[in-house]
Order: sequence, then structure tokens, then C-alpha cells
Amino acid sequence: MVIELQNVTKVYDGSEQPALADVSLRIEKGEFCLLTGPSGAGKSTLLRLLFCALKPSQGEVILHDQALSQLKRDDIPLLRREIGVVFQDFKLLPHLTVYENTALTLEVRGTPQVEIDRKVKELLIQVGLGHRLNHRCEQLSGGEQQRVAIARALIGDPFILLCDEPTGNLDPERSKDIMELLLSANARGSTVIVATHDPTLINNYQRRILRLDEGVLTSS
Amino acid sequence: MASSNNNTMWVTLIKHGFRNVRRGGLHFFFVAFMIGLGLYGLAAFGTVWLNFERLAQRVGSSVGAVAFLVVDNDDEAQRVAQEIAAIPGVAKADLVAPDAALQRAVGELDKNNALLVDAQGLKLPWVVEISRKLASDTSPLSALVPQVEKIKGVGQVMHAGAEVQRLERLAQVLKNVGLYLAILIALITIVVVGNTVKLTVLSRIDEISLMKLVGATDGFIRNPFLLEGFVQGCIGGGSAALGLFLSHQTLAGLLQATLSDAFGVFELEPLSLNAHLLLLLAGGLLGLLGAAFSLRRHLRS
Ligand SMILES: Nc1ncnc2c1ncn2[C@@H]1O[C@H](COP(=O)(O)OP(=O)(O)OP(=O)(O)O)[C@@H](O)[C@H]1O
Ligand SMILES: [Mg+2]
Repeated sequence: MVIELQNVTKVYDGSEQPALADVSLRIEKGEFCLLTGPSGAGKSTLLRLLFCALKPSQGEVILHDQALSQLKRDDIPLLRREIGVVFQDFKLLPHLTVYENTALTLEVRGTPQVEIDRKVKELLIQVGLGHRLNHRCEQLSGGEQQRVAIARALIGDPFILLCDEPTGNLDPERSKDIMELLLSANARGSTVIVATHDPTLINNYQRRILRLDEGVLTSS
Repeated sequence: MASSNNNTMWVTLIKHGFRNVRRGGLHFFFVAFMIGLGLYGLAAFGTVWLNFERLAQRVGSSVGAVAFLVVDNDDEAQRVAQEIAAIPGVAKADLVAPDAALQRAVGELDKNNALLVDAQGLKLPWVVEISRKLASDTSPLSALVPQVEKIKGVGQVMHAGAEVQRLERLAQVLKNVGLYLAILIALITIVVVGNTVKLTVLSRIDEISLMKLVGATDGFIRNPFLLEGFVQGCIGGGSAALGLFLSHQTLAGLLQATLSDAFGVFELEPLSLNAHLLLLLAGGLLGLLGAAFSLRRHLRS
């Protein structure tokens, strides 16, 4: 198994209500899960725990048989290179170009420039941004930005792909394209978790569903 | 493989460094300018200071004291001269024997030989010419004189006491003011540079946290900033060195003329080539430290 949560509770500083309450779950290598639940249910929180952007208040998160609480500071970057994340708010660098934003993932690993160039261009064409390579991200539409965010997560062929509302700003046609991309990454071996409250997504893709309600895992 | 990876890291580092500079725009040059200005101020001050030291040394040592001895043989005179030389604060104690004094007088008065006839009958005393160490690190002349007077065999001591004391006090004041100003300039430079770099870091805080999220190591994030700071500092330090050189070329003559009037021939020497290089290096170091310091906190969290 790649991902395991053991009785994880997360209470944010200054809040009384836990964002996640005693969540336990296992996700096997190569699975494709949809993480759903109403706004504020704790979906983003759960994803943040997985890429070490948050520490659980209680419980343990285990990735690849590695307990994250035992992880040394210097190991966190290495772990994050195995995880691709599509952030709900994209977190693109607005003044950098589409190309530069996407390349960042590979640059931090020391991938040779030639390889970066080839991969980035190839992928950006795939997500339909081939004509936007040198546009700064602040000049893009919401949907275009979302695709850059997805490209940046996919470019490193991550073992684990975490997507927070990756189709939130897209029309159904684009949504479908993006889901195809995620599914093909899954087919290449990535374990994928997609957080969404888009019912069509849930209906169209019959996959394992993890449901959160007010921080409690009600269905897995 | 390892070396190609290394090369890639360097290429990326320089690319990111330049990207930061391009984006930083005027900010980048403002920091460089501030570093340059601060270092220029300090170095210009240093130049004047060093030259003032030399001046003070010259004036101070030329203004000494003369002790007339009450001894009647050369051995005794030698002993007294040695005792005077041993007093702390005395740089030199030259014994002038009566014959030599006469010779000197002859030299100086040779136009008026008639006087010497009378002088022949006069018995000149042994004299010790005392010059003092640098005014800064010794007791004032007024403290020296009584000590000389106490030595057995010394008669009268003559000196330009009040004049010298005034000069010394002026030197002391100038030095204190100089030190104060130098510290002030240094502090202002550090604070302004520190804050400006901090602003730069703050304006890129999103970028820093995103880089971390995609798996950048601290070093990967830090190095472009350090490179940027170093280049900034070198530009600043280099400009300061250049500015200093140019202002010496243009202003030294003026200053020299003014000071020469007051103190006799006076040359304002420029700082050495090494000092100019040191300035460049100091700039680089300042920029590097500024960047490292401002980043420290943001890379911890
Ligand atoms: N940084 C934070 N500090 C304090 N509370 C937070 C923080 N982030 C989230 N929360 C709270 O934690 C709870 C879960 O938030 P989370 O973002 O995980 O929900 P979500 O399921 O992703 O919602 P959405 O579908 O709207 O994105 C919410 O009540 C939210 O207000
Ligand atoms: Mg969310």
C-alpha cells in the first residue's frame, strides 16, 4: 500500500472544530480515488497532510512504509518530488511563463535542460497550451491556469498524484480531457486522489469514493 | 552523471538568479546602490582619516621638547639622554653635544660671522631634542615634561605646550567625531540593506513556499538569492571603489592645496589598490550576508 492514515485528527490552530476527526484509511498502489464531501468537509486538509504541508494533531500518516512524523527535515523535499499536487488555488507564479511554471518541478530535481525542454513542450501541447508557452500565467484565463497547474503536477511522473478540484473551473469538454490525463497517469502507475464535489465526475467515473463529512470519513 | 547533474544545477541556479534580477528590477539596483553608498562613505572617511593620522603624526613629532642639561661631560649626557629615551611616550631623544650645537649655529648663522666671535667664548650646554610618539596613544606633552624635568642632570625643559595641547585636543575631537560618523554610516547601511533585502524576500514569499512544495531543497531556493546578493554587493563595492578613485583624482588636489596652507607640504594619498579590492570584496560579502540573513527565517518554516 502507498498511503495509510492511522486515526488522523487535525485541529487547526485557533479553531475548536477538528478539520479531520480520527480518519483511518488505506490506499493501495495504483488506485484512483475520488475524495468528496461538502465544502469545508476537510478534503484539502487531508491532501495537505499527505504532502507534508501540514502535520496531524494526532495519528500517523504513512507513505511508502515511511511514517511522516519520523521524516527528517532534509527528506521532505525528496518525498515531495514523488508527489504531484494540483492545488485548489493553483499556486502558479503569476509573473513566470506557462513554460517556466511547468518546468519548475523538473528544475528542482536537477533534470537536464534538454530533457526539461522536451517534456514540458510535449505535455503542454497535450493539455492544450502549446500556443501559450511563453505567456505569463497572470495573462491566462482561469481554466488555462488550471491546466498549467495540472501540467506542473504531471510533468514529474509522480508516484502519487493529488488533485484538489482539478476540474473546478473547466467546461465539461475540458473536464473530460483533464480526467483522461489523470486516468492515463494512473494507467502509467501513479496512485491518484482527486478531491471534488462535482457530482458528474463521481457519476461518470466509477471509482473508489472516499467521502468526508465535517472531518469524518463516512464512506471509503 | 554526477557532473552533468552538477552542471544542470549551476545552469538552473544562474538562470533563476537572473530571472530574479530581471524581476527585481530597480529593487536590485537600489540595494547595490545602498551598499555602494555606504561603503563609499566609509572608505572616503577612511582615506581622510588615514591621511589625518599621518598629518597628526608629522605635526606631533615635529613639535617636541628640548631639554637643556646641567652636566659637564659626555658620558653623563649620554646617560641622561638614555633615561629620557626610556620614558614612555618618547619616540626619540637625540643628544646634541656642545660642539655639534656650535657647528649647527655656524651653519645657520654663517652670514653673520661676526657673532661667532662672541659665541666662541660662550659655553654651550648639552641638549637633548625630544620627539614624542604619535599623539593618539600617549600621554600629552604636558605630562611628559615634568617627567623629563625630574631626571637628574636635566636643567630646563622648553616646549610649545599650549599650542601642542590645542592641536592634540582637536585631533582627539576629530577622531571621536570620525569614529561616530563611521559607525553611523555603517549602521545605516546595514539597516537599509537588510530591510530592502527583506522586502525582496517578502515579495517572493509565495515563490519560496511553492518551490518548497514542488520539492526544492533549501539550498536550491537559497542559492539564487545568495548569488543575487553577492552580485549586488560586488556592483555596490565596485562602484564605491571606482567612485573613491575618481573622487581622489578630482578632489584630492583641492584638499591638498587647502591643507598645505595650514600644515606645510601635504599630500593626500589615495587608498592602496588592495584597499580598493577589499572594498569590492566587502561589498560582495555584505550582499551575501544580507541575503543569507533575510532568508534564514523563511527557510526554517
Ligand atoms: N489554514 C486554516 N486555518 C484554520 N482553519 C482552516 C484552515 N484551512 C481550513 N480550515 C478549516 O478546516 C475545515 C476544512 O477545510 P478544507 O479546506 O479542508 O475543506 P474542503 O473540504 O477542502 O472544502 P472546499 O470543498 O471548500 O475546498 C474548514 O472548516 C476550514 O474552515
Ligand atoms: Mg478544498
